Amino acid sequence: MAIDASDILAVTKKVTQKWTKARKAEERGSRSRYSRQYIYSDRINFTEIADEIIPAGYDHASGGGQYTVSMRQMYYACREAFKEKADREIEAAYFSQTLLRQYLNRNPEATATWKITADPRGTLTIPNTAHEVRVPCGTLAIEAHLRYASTHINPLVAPSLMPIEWPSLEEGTRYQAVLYIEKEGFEPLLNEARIAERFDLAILSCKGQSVVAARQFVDHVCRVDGGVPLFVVHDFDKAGFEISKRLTSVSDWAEEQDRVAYRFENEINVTDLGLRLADIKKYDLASERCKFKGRRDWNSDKFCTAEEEAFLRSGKRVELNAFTSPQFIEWLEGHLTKRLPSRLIPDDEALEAAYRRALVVAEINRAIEAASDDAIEHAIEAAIPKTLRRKLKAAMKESGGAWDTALYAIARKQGLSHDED
Amino acid sequence: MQSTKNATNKTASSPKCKKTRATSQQKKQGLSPRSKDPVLNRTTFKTSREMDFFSEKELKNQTAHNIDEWPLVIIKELVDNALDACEEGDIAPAIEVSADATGITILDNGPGLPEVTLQGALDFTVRTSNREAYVSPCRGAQGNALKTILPMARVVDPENGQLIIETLGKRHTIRCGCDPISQRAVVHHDIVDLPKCKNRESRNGTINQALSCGTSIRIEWGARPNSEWPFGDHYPHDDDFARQFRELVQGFAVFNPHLSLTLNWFNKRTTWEATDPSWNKWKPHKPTSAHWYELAHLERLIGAYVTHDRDHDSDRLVSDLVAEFDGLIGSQKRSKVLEDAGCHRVKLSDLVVGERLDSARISGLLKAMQVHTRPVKSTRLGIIGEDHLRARLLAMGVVPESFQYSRKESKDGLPWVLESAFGWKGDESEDWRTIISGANWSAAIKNPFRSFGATGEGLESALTDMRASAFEPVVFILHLAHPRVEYTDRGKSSLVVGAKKQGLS
Repeated sequence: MAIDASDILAVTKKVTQKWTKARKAEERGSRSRYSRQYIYSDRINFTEIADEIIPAGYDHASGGGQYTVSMRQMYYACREAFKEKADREIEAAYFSQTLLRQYLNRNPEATATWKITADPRGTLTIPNTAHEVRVPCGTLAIEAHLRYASTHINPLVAPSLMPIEWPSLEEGTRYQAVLYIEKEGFEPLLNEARIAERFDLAILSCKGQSVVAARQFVDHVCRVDGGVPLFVVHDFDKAGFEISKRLTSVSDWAEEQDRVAYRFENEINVTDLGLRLADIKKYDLASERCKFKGRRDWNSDKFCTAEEEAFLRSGKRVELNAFTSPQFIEWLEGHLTKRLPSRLIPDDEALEAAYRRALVVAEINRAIEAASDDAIEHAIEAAIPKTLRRKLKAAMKESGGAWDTALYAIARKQGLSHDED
Repeated sequence: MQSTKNATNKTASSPKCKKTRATSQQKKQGLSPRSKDPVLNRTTFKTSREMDFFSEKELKNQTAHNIDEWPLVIIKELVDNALDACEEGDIAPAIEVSADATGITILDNGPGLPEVTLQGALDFTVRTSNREAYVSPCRGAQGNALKTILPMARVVDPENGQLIIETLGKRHTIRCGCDPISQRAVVHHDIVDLPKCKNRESRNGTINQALSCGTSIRIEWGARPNSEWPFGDHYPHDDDFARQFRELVQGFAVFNPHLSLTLNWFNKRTTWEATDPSWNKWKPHKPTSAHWYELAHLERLIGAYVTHDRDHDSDRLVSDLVAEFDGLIGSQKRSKVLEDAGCHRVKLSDLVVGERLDSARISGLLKAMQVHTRPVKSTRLGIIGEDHLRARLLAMGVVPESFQYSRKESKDGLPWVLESAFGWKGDESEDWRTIISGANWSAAIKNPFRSFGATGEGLESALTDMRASAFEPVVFILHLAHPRVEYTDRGKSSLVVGAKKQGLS
């Protein structure tokens, strides 16, 4: 008989089974006699602790319900209180997936207005719409989509006017800076606080180390000559500093190993707004354990101060998620207000072009408004063809389009013949 | 250290190491110096190889480890060799590993490193190994550890790097380098006589009778500021590196109940006393079993013997080869094997047809050897045992009630033994999870069970699933004894374990 992975797993499971059982009992909060004797000296019911600490944790993290909070922020908001009561650390995954979930299920009414989000994972794509509709598969986005999708549509409401926004997506005319965040979970909070709109910011995020596409983007739009500034927000950990560095430059290691993923064409106008030790002290942010695996000369590029390096080497890190939502917004706004004191107004050339376009749009929109009343009246008076469904099927077969585009073709044809009459 | 056929002869002729002296009668009978158990006198085979050892890049290829990890490679390879040497000499091993600002020293109480083995290691034009062609549960299979370590000192410190070997009454100071013009190896080898071997003092100044013979190997470099080492970016006083170093040394104490081991880390001494000095395992000089071989393995062994004999103007009989296998030393059984295989009075060179080995005949020979011998039971490979592992884990701070032990053995086919132990260090412990894993009584630099199974799931993730995550203060031990351990890489950092067809079958 050959040795197989199952043999290794079997002996591993056999020696750890009592430990696993005790830990699972601890997680469930059941008062396992065995877990008491073997692992713990006191009876601890996690469910009771959760009931005690989670409401206060949410209140703290959301600023009294003002902002959305992520699962991770909830974890940080409750972690210390949990440790105080249980006399041990709790793991983030167990907190968010078990304790918090169970609490929400037990208290549906009390938590009905709570806005707790998980990172979007995946995308919902809706076909055959006027614009591509892609909804991030996150709690808030899906809820918003369901609300919008179920709203009643008034068929005779005045048609949309031409969009009045200047259609350019170019840096300097659409946004005055790029904010890079090393996490994706902050999007709902940033939306709520209207950070992008208020500061005319493009927001770019990746999970962890930036992808080539992100580097390519900042290389082009955040170049020193003619680009817009790039602000990088990251955790206070070794990876965070490296993420910031690698977003705008190639590492020596990558050069030596011939592993350069993207070669920058421009010098980047970058400012590191990452979390620092001073912020951690100011906001009294909680740290977590983290192995520091780094060369002795890791900080030769002066990523951080000697005190900060000592903190990191002591096996600790602090995540952005350690902020409560109000703290995070206050901290971020502080940085942005200092660096972007005024709103975006593009250069003269773009301004003149936009003004001329605004004149055109204004006139067209006036015409649309004027024509709307007649159009609605005609629509109300129009007879619905008895063979509409059959005509629609034929039109769809001919065009290959979705039902509503084919329907529009029929209506337009009907409208034209009406005009001829 | 490395004991070979030549090594045994050399040791026997030394007046200073009577313990390992073997009578000519014993040798004729193929018996070990200390017992009447049959002995495999391994032969060192040579194949051409040159200039693979004289740059960081080449040594990285040879060892499959970056320069940062070379101190660990030195420890692993030299302790492996020391253990093998002691076991071949039937000596309960006592080993001391010392690390200081200018070097790493491994001191053992084995029968000594024979001059001929050292000379073989210094000949960089050939590859020497008394392991590679045999199938057996050995700590090392390539047999080139010393040859790899010899030039390391010079590569990391071209000015002052050297290897100092004290053995069999002599001190060898070796500086290996490479002639930049001719691209040939340049070896400076100074030999001086040492004072009498007995009562020799160990490096730290304490007299240790157990280490009064044996071998001391020190890889040495020039002093650097702040006691830095010349191995990349690893700083010896960095807690993480010191822990890694200690855990590797400790791993040997965990896997070898007969070993007394001392770690002297910058004058901070830790000792693990042997829990069972007479502990028994399948030793490197025991005959191998025909049941461990497949046709390709036996062909490789026969091919190596034929080449070796050609180099030495000899041509052994198939009968001589058969006598080296477990259970076939007796002439009666040997005759039956030779009769079944049609190899009476056949020479090994007769199994070569043209430039190829005669696979059909060799297959018949292997089948006959397997028919006339019993497969080796798994337990004969060696069981580390619950008592020893309990002692080691408790010494690491494990709460006694939490200790768990498990063992699994093969029921048929190739023998193997998996042993596992687990313990929890208590609520007060600030340590993180410690995994000590390895194969054939050798500690591994990296967990060799990192990936197994069709999904590539590894030991770490399995333990995390079992709530023994990296942050838990637990100790987990996993050891595999197997005659045909295969690794995915040269650095032996990952075992081949998976679906049965791909596994250690």
